Amino acid sequence: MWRRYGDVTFAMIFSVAISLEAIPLGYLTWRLAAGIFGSSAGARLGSVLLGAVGSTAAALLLVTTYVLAYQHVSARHELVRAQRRQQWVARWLGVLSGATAEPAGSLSSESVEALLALRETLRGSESARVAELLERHGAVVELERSAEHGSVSGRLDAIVALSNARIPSALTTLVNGVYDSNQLISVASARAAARTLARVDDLFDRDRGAAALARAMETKELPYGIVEEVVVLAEESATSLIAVLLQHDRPRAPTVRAAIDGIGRLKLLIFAEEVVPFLTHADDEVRGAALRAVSRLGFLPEASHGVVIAALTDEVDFIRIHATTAARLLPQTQALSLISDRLGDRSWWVRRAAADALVGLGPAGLAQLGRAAREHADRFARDMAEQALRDQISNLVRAVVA
Amino acid sequence: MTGILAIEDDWTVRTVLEHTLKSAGYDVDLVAGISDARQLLADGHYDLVLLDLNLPDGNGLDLLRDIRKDLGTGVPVLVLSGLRQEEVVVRGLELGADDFVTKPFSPPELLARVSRCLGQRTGHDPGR
Repeated sequence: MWRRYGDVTFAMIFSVAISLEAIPLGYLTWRLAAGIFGSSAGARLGSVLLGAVGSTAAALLLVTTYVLAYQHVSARHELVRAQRRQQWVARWLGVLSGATAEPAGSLSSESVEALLALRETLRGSESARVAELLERHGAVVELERSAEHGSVSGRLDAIVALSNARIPSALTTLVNGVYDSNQLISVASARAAARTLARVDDLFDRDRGAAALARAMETKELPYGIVEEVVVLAEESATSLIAVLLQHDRPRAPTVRAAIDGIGRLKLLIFAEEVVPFLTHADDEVRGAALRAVSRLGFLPEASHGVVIAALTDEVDFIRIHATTAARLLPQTQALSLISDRLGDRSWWVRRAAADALVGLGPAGLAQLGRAAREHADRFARDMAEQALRDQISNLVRAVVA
Repeated sequence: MTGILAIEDDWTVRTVLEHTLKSAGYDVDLVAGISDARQLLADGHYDLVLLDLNLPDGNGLDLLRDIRKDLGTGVPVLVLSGLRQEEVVVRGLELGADDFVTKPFSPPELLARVSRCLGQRTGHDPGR
């Protein structure tokens, strides 16, 4: 989007330009259709056509002038704002170090933006003091109000600002935003709530916030990708959120899948035991997520070895891919043999996963790849094994040269 | 006075670096990209380089490799990295970075790491 400001001006300019086009062309079409020009059509038709061309030129000139003027003005406007923000950052740093007095009264938008930028940049007690300044000067309340009322773009801007501010007191407002009927507001609020939840230190408040956010996401039936992103954005609070999502009364499959993927991505070993039962879940996507999480966590209890071995020959391609990756957690002799078998799978992706899994097993895996490249009964398996070994050589060369 | 070259493209981080380091008595030059940094490194002498890794005109690791090649190990390099960039940090340390600071950072922690890097190389407390 090349515009950030001036929606009304933009709409008016384009209304005028389209009118300049539409009116003469409409008139011309009507006259021609009705045969009104008659026998003396030549001169009148010519003048109408000339008028249409003239109005087209005027419309183009109007739009071009507006676009160029807008670019010029907005570039200068942005530059001035950036300079003011930078001055405010320096001033706030002076306030934080005690060298400058705190400004009195309400804050300008640039000064709030500077505080938000500092909140993102600083850590520890300085960051906490920036949060205090935002709250003490009423900026958080103002942002919460803007997040709840007004135009969609204004609300989104306020939600993003609250997301950067990560002020725990704004969590309730953000969770309420997840229930909004506008999907854009709902998703942005969920992301902002997750980032805010990450900064909630009090364990009771964290669990309560996580429960409220999980309930809101379930009620709104947010899709898998968003729930997973929310889990990851929650950082250290992700454990609270995942616990609630998995303990929810009959959770939706996308939610369970997102929670399990979050466990794997964040390597939350505390949930390792809880992932295992999902290896036999009825939903293929959930089973796939559980296999992915098991691989990422590096935890596969002996009782579940059979489940992974069975999944290696599953009908669903992506289950076989994730099972092949997880199979490296089996006892080594068994893993080498079973993964090597997958080099001959009908799916290229499973064959590639098998080659990568063997590489991941170190010298024994590379030796197995070598044997497969020479002796595997399947031609495609031999090709894949050879390709994987070639990739290893080029990686080795790159590493040595670098 | 101890001279520090800070290579960072984010204006907020630059302002924080400048304010924090100057308040502690260091002489700071700030640049936003690798090409400007190369020029300053060729022209002047710095006691420490603060290096961000994601720069608009290239990867900070490439500059780090060149610093170690051209200037040897005499100039300590402190790498500024984002959260969850463990692999990049490890690569930076392998290439000869002395330490790293994770963004977001705390100014006292930054000053402590700068002081430690300078102290390790020069054997005295610098910047004062």
